[in-house]
Amino acid sequence: MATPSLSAQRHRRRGRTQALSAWALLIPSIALLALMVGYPGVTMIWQSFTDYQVRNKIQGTPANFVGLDNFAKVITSSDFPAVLARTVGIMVLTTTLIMVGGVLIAILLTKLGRGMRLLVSVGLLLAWAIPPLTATVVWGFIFDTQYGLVNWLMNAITGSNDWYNHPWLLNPWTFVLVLTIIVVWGAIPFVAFTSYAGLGQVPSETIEAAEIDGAGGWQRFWNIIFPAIRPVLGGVLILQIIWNMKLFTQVYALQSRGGIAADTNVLPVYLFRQGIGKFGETSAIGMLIVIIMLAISWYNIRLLLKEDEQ
Amino acid sequence: MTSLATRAAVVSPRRAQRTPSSPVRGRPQRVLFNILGLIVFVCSVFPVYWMVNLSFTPGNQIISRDPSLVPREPTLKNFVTAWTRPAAPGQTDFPNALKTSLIIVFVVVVCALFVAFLASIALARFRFRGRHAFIVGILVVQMIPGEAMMFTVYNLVDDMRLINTLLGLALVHVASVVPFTIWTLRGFVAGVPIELEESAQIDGCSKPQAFWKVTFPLLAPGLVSTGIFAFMQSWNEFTMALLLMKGQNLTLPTWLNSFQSATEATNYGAVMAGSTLICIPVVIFFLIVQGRMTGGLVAGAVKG
Amino acid sequence: MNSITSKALPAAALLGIAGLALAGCSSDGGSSSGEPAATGTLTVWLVGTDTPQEARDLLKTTFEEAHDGWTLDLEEKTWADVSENYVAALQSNDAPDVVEVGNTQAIGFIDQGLFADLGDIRGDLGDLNPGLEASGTYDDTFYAAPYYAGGRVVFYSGDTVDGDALPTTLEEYVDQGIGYRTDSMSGIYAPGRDWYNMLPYIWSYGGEIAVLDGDTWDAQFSSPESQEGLKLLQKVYQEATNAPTDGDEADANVPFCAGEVAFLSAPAWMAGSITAPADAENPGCADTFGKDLHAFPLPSNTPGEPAPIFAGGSNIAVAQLSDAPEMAKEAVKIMVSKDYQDIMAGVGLTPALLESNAALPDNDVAQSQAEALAVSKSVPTTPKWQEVESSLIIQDSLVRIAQGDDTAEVAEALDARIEEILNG
Repeated sequence: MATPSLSAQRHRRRGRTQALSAWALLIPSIALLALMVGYPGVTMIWQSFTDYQVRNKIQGTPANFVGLDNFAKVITSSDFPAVLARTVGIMVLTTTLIMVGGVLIAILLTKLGRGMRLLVSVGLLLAWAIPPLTATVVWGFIFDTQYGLVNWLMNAITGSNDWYNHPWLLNPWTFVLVLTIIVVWGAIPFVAFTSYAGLGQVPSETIEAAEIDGAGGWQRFWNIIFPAIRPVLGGVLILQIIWNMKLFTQVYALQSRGGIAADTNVLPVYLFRQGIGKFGETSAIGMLIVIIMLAISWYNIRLLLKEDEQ
Repeated sequence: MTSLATRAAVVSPRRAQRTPSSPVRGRPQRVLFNILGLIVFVCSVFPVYWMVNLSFTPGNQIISRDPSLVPREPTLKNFVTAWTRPAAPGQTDFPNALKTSLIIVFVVVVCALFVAFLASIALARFRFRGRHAFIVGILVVQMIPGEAMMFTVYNLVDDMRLINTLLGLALVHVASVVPFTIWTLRGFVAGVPIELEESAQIDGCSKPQAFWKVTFPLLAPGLVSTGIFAFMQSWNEFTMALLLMKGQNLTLPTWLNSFQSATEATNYGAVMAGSTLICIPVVIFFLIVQGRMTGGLVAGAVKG
Repeated sequence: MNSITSKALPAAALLGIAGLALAGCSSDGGSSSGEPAATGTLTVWLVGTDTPQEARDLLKTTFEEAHDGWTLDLEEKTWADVSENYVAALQSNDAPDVVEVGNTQAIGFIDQGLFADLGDIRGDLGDLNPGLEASGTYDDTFYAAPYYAGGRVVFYSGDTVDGDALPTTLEEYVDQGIGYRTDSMSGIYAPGRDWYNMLPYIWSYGGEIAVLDGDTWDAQFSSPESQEGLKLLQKVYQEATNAPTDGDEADANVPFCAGEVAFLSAPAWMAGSITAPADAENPGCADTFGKDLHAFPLPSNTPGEPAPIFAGGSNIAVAQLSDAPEMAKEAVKIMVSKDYQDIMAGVGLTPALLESNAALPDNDVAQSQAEALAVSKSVPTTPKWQEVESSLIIQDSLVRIAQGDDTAEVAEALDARIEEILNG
C-alpha cells in the first residue's frame, strides 16, 4: 500500500483542488436552495422586523421598520405562552415515544423468526405509506364522537353506555392523546427501520464476546449495542425534533373535526391562524420557531459534527 | 474496530452486510416475542384495514352506531364515485390527479437524487472549509416552517410565471426535499469506507473510475432508500400544492381535500375509497423497490 | 462566538445572499394598462354550489354576446379557499377579475387594498340589500357589490313536530325543544361550535357582539342583555340537545334524516339536502323525514316577530390587480341585474336586488328566510374581524358554555380576547 509522502506544496494544491471540486459539486444544491429557500428565508427574517402587509405590495408603498415590535407583540399576546408550551410539550412527548418505540420495535425485529419479521415489516410499511392527512381522517373517524369505533368498543368492553358520544377531541388532553397516537403511529416505522439497519452494523462477534464475558441482556444493550447505533439514532433524533416541532397537517385536520382550537394550537397552526397578510407577525413567529428548534437541537448537532470529524 | 461514528447511515454496505438477528433461546421467549410482534402488526395495520373496510361499506352504513369489522353489504360504489367524480365542479378527477402526482413525483425524485447525490459526495468525501457551515445550513433550512414562507414562495413562483404549472410545483418540492435527502445520503456515502476506492486506485483505476466501479454500486441501497423518502415527501405534500395548483392541475392530496369539502354532506364512503386509492401507488412503489434495498429494511427481514 | 453560530451564520448568509442575487434577476410583476382590450378572457371565481347552473349560463352568454371576442371563464372555489388562496391570487401577476367572497370576509380584503373601487357603477345597480351593501362598503367607498343573502330558518318535519302549535316566542321555542328531547332525539339540534345560531339569542335580548365606543371596540358578550341570551342558550345545550358539544353545523341534515332532530335551525339551502332522495350521492330523506318538511323563522321575544338572525350571503368584487377592470365591472353589472337575480331568487336564495324578491318561490322556506333577513344583523364591520373568525375564539367559548361553564366567566374572557384583536 502506498504511503502518502507529499510535500507541503502538493498538500496545499490538493487542498485547493479538493475545495474547488467540492464546491463544484455543491453548486446545484446551493443554487436551488438559495433561490427557493434562502431567498424566502431571508425575506422572512427581514419581514419580521417590519409591518409589511399585502397592502404594501398592492399599493406600492414601502413597509415600515418596527424593530422588535412584532416579536414583543407575539410573545406578550395572551395565548402565545400556552401555545409555545404545548408545542414543545407535544414535540417532547411524540419524539420520546417515537424514538423509544422505534428502537424497541427494531430490537423486536431482530428477535423474530423470518416469517413474523416479514409480517411486522409489512405492517409497519403500510402504516408509513399512509399520507398524514389521510391517517388523520381515518383515525379521527375511529375516534369520532357519535359514530366512532372507539366509543363503540369501550361501551362493548365495559358493558355500559358511559362512552356514548364521548367527545375525545373536546378535552385538550385527550385531543393530544389522539394526536399523539396519529403522529407516533405514522412516524415509528421510519425510526424502526432505520434502527434495524443500524443494528445490522454491530458486529456479532462483539456481542457474543460480551455474552461469554457474562454480560446480561440489558448490559449488552446499554454498553455495546447502544453506543454502536448512537450516531444513527442521533441523526434520526434531530429529524424527529424538527418534524415534530413543525407539526401542522395532523393538528389542523384534527381541529376541523372537533375540539377547542385555542386549547390545541401548536405554533405552526397558530401562525397559520393569524390574520391574512400580516406578514410581520407571521414572520416573527416563524423566526421564533427556528430559534427554538436550534436551541433544542444545538447539543445534538454539535455532537454530530464532532463525530463527523473522526 | 472501524469507527462506527462515521456511519450516520441507514443501510450498511454490502461488504459488512449482516442482517441483525439474535437467536432467541427457549420456547417461552419465542412465543412472547411472536405475540409482541403480532401486537405491533395489528396496531400498525388496523387503521389501514379500517380505511379499506369503510371504502367498501355503503355510505348510509358508515354513519352508524353499529360498526362492523367486515362490510355487511360490500359495495364498489364508493370506488366508482372516487374514481370518476371531479373533486368539485371544474376541477380534476382521480385519474387526472393521479397522473399529475406521478409526473411531479418522478421529476422530483430524479432531480432531488441527482442534486443531493452530488452534494453528499462533496460533504462526505472532501475536506474543505465551510463544510460544517453547509451541514448546519442544511439543518437550519429544514427548521423553517413552511407556513411562514408560503407567500414569499408563492410570489417567487408567480414571478417565474409558474403558478399552476407542474414545473412550478416540482421546483418547490425539489427544494423542500433536497435538504433531507442530502442529510441522509451523506450518511450513506460516509458509510462506504474510502479505503475501498483507494485500493481500487492502487489496482490501476483512476479516481473517478474507482468511484463508479466500487463505491457507487454500494450506494445503490442508499439511493433507493432516500429515493423512497423523497417520493413520499412529494407524494403527500399538501400545503404548497393547495396554494399553487388549481382546477385541472390538482395533485392527489389536494384532490382528496377538495373532494372531501366540496360535498355539503360528506360522503365518507367515497372519501375513504379515495384515500385508499391514494395509498395504493405508494405501496406498489414500495414493493417494487424494496427488493433492491439489500442489506436493510424489509429485504433484510426477508433474508432472515 | 461559539462554533455552531460561527458556522451557521456564514451558511445562512451564503444561502441568503446567493438567493437575493438570483431573485433580483426575476422580473417585476407587470402593472395593468388602463385600456380595455379588444379580446381576452375574463376570470370569475364563484364559491361553492349556491349559484345555480342557469345563472352561470346566463352570465356567460350575456357577457360573451355583449363583448365580442371575450370569453368568460367561471372557476369553482371552496369556502376554505377564501383566505390564503384568495389573498395569494389577488396579489399575484395573474389575479382573477371578479371574485365572490362571503359578506363578512369582504372587509378584510378591502382593507388590504385587494378590491377595486366600484363607485362608478353603483348607480347602475339599483336597490340592493342594505345589510350586504354595508358589508361591502368601507370608508364610504363601495367595493363589494351584494350578490345574494342567506339566512337561517327553523326546519321541522310534520312527522315529528305538531305544526299547529309552533312556538311564538324564543322562550317558548326553547321550552318546546326541551319537551321534544329524548335520549335519541334532540329537541333543538345545537352543536357547540355553531356560533351563527348563537347570535339570535344575544340579539333578541338586545345584546350585541361589539360596539364602537369612539375609536375603540367594546365587546359585549358579558353585557347583561347578552348574558340573558347566553344563559337561555346554555339551557338549550344542556336540556334540549344531543348534538356533539364540539361539533359544528355541517352535515346537520344527517341526524335530521335519521329522525334524531325535532327543530333544526339551518341555512335555507339545507332544505335541498334534506329533500334529496335517499340514493342520491349526498343522500337526503325525501321519503321519510323530508317528506313533510316545513320551516318558520326563529321567533324573538316579541310574539309574532322573527328574531334578528345573522345576515349571511356573498358579495362580488373586482380585483384591484385585475388586468381588465372595465370588463370585470360589466360582469358585476350582469350578476346584479334583474334577470340574473330573479334566477337566484327562484332557487330560494334571497336576492341582493330588492325587486327580485317578487321572484321568490311561494313556499314556507323561502318566505321564512326573507322574513328573517328583513331584521338581520351582521358582525362588526372592521377588517380585524376576520382575525376573530379565523382564531375560532367565539366557537371555542361557545363549546365551553355548552359544556356547562359559567357564561359570565366565559364571556369576560371572550370579550377580552376580541378587544385584544379588534383594537390591537
